[in-house]
Amino acid sequence: MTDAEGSRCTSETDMIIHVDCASHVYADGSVGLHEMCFFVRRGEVVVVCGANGSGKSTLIEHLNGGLVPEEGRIEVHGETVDERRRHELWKTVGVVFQDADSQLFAPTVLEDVAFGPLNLGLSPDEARKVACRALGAVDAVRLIEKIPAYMSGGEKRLAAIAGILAMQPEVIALDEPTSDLDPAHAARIESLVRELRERGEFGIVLSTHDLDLASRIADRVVILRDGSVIAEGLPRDVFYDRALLERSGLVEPCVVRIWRAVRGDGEGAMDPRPITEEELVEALKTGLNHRCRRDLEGGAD
Amino acid sequence: MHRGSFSGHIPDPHQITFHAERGGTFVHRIDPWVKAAALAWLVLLVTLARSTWLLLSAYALTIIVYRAAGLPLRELARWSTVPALFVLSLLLILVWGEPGRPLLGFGGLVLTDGGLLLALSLLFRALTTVTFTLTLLMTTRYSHLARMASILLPNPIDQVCLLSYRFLLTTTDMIGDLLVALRSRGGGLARGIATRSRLFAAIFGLSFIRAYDRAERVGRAMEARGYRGRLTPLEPIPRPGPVETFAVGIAFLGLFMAVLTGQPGFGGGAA
Repeated sequence: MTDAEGSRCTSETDMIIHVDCASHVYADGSVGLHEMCFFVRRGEVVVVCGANGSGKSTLIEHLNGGLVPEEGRIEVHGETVDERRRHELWKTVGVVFQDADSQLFAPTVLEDVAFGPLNLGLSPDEARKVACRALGAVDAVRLIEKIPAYMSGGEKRLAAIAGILAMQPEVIALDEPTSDLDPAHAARIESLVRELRERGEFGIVLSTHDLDLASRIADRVVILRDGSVIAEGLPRDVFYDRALLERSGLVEPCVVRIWRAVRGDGEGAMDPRPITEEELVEALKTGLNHRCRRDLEGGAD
Repeated sequence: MHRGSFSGHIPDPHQITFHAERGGTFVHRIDPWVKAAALAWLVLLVTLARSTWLLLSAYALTIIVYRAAGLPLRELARWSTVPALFVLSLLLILVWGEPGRPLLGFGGLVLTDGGLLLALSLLFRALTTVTFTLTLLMTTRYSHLARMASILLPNPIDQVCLLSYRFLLTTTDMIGDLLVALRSRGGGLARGIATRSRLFAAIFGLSFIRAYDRAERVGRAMEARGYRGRLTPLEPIPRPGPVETFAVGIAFLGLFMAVLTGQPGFGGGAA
């Protein structure tokens, strides 16, 4: 599987962060990462998929400097991150944690969103402006004076994303951003990720085991198992590989399952391999048109 | 979404935060330093005062200030039960055999009017301090408290205090979640403790460990956004004006003068 075809990024100069053969073992002996190789480029959405315990969250914490690889290295713009620079990684990679309650600690949303900019050395007035702008970007200005404890899960997630946007990082890493959200809030987060991608300013890493979400928004998919990358490529290539998904403990996206049910498993039967709902509808319409034409031609004979 | 405190008798930190951040009464607008000085003054007053009437007046005054801040009286009544019970548990030892006119007798134990006044004065002392501390916390923004702590305490003690306050929130949330899970299956705090105390002790111990774990995740999320041991407040803390400073000075001076000259209510004359 390759990752070049159809990708929005075209050159290695766009590469922001590169995890080079990193390994990490937790204190209890469980493997977090094992010779992990991973990179993020500006303007792309990389979706990291894997079952529970596959190393998604561990990888994200390494990107941010929260964890240090015991072997291997992390490079930012081609320069190896040493111990001193590790503490600066938070300026390059902003992480939206899986549990928004763990991220929102300040008494009001405004203060929480302004926390990062203040740590970047902005004056309180500047930090306030940046925070308001970030809340505007996620369409959550109404939350500005709210107390996080009294907000819904979706609102908390939006505030947490605003907190990261306010720091203007080069890479935004979202750890399972739609887990435990209702469909409306999940759709809001999804469209927000699309908007961020359209801006082209960030590399976006998103970890999930929801392959339906991944198939809709990924430019590139990385499949993890036991802390290692076992496959990488376009969603179309990865998600039509049933054996690979079974090996990874994942379930095919809905669109793939429907298409497989319609077309069967024969050689070449999967083409054109729709991956989004729009593509599926288009492929079904085309298929129906062909059948109707055949039926008509058969009738005429 | 936050469901409220796990017990109506324990102050809910989220509700305290809500009133502190969203309130707009004149008590909220009073300079935080003045409110902190007023708390110190009240603590001194209730420590030095001997007159029950003076202590009752101080308590009444704190309730008036509390209500003027738009804070809920019903919650205050509930929250006062724990300190009141604590004081009463001490009084069960202290009130007997005080000099005065006997009111009640249980075998060799005699409750006198002096003992009753002692009980009331201790109760007023405790409730005055608790009520005004709650008023201070519920009318002062967290960023102001954070700034005051960083000025008054050396680093990292100030950060430990501030993060402990946030840790309190995660702990109460965790215990709240635990109790909701218990109640949803027919259990309850009091019944559970009465019938399966060992199990409950283990559960509460574990919930503290989980709260610690969650607090650590909060800490890691803070570090991921550049926290390196110092909280920078978004708003600078206001400085008290000359009139407020003068008023606080006069109040302290007046209190010391009253004590030193042995004014009624402070050990001199009739109480």
